[in-house]
Amino acid sequence: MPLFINRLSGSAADATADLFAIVRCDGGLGQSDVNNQVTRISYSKTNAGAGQDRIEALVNSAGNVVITAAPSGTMIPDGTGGTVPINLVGGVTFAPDANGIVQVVYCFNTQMFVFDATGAQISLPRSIILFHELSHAFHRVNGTFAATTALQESQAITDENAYRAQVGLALRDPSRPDGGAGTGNGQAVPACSGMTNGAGQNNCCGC
Amino acid sequence: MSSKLAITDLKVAGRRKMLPDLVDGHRDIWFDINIDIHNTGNTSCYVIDELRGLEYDEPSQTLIIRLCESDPGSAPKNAPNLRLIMPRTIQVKPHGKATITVAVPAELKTLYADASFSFKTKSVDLLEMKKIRCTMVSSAHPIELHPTESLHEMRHRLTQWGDSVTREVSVGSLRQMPFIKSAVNLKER
Repeated sequence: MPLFINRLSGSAADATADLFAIVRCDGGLGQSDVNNQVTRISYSKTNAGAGQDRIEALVNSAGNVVITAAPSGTMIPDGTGGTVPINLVGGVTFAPDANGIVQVVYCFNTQMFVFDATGAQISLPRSIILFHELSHAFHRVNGTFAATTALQESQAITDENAYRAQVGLALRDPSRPDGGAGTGNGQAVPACSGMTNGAGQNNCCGC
Repeated sequence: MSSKLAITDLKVAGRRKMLPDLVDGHRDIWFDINIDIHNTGNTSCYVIDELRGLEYDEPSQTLIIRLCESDPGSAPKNAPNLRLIMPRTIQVKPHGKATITVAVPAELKTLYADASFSFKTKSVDLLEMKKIRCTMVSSAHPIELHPTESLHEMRHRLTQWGDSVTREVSVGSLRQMPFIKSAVNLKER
């Protein structure tokens, strides 16, 4: 019972679109409604790649991960009893709750940048944000979660770089978890075929 | 006399339809809030010019906006993986004035956990608000970058930065407020 999309909060359609981007439009991605709270993701991989491999691993892992795609301006718990706007963090992955569920929340309509190894600003498209958070979730549920905050970020950025390389984006400096609001170098995750909605509009996330 | 910040005016400047959602095409509505500031001192000051915190006090129907960092309290044991971006600042010259515009969603959504499998949302209609309270900070010194510090260290450091000023104003009815004619809105005509 591994990977779910929240139906109670945020935009389930945006989360689905970003997962579809991460698996590069692999038709093996499926979903089924479990109840009024969540949709379960299934995945039968047809092509290998960093994005496809990670979603396959999450779908087949023992832990439960729930994704919420939140619009800019949504206030999220900050872990200390307060709240922060999601657009100031990009994404967040919470520690497993009492039932072992890991909640992942990310912002699907903000523009953020991070840094490459030279210190230059590079783009942080929405499907990259989701992939980064799913990396934290993956390590949390598989017993490979790094010991310190700095190592956890480095771990997730290293994973993120594998997906960045797959889609041709500039790589991020694993020692710099910081970033800011802005377009960075303007790079976007390239569209993959099949990413259209019913109206024939391209749904490419982060493009 | 050092730098000293005053909030000289605070008002809802208008409401705006945001760009259509890529997936379902819906358009959220946001308010623009203009904050007029005045550096009454004789040295330049740095001011955070973006929204860092937002909440709504339902009993008093007051929207509380913070252009400053909230006290993070003590470091949690099972901290979430969360990285706040550093606050953006502007520099205001001695005796200079500036207007900062922040955007606030007309429907304030807050995620929360309960016994459900997934997060739920509490929504508040900000068209009901009667007052706005704004808190800002300013300092003669810029915010330093410490890229490797933890989130808790960063937030704690930012709460120590600068001097704060607060202003509260009443607002009129927002339901009849016209939409700002941005390029996006003009295309609809």
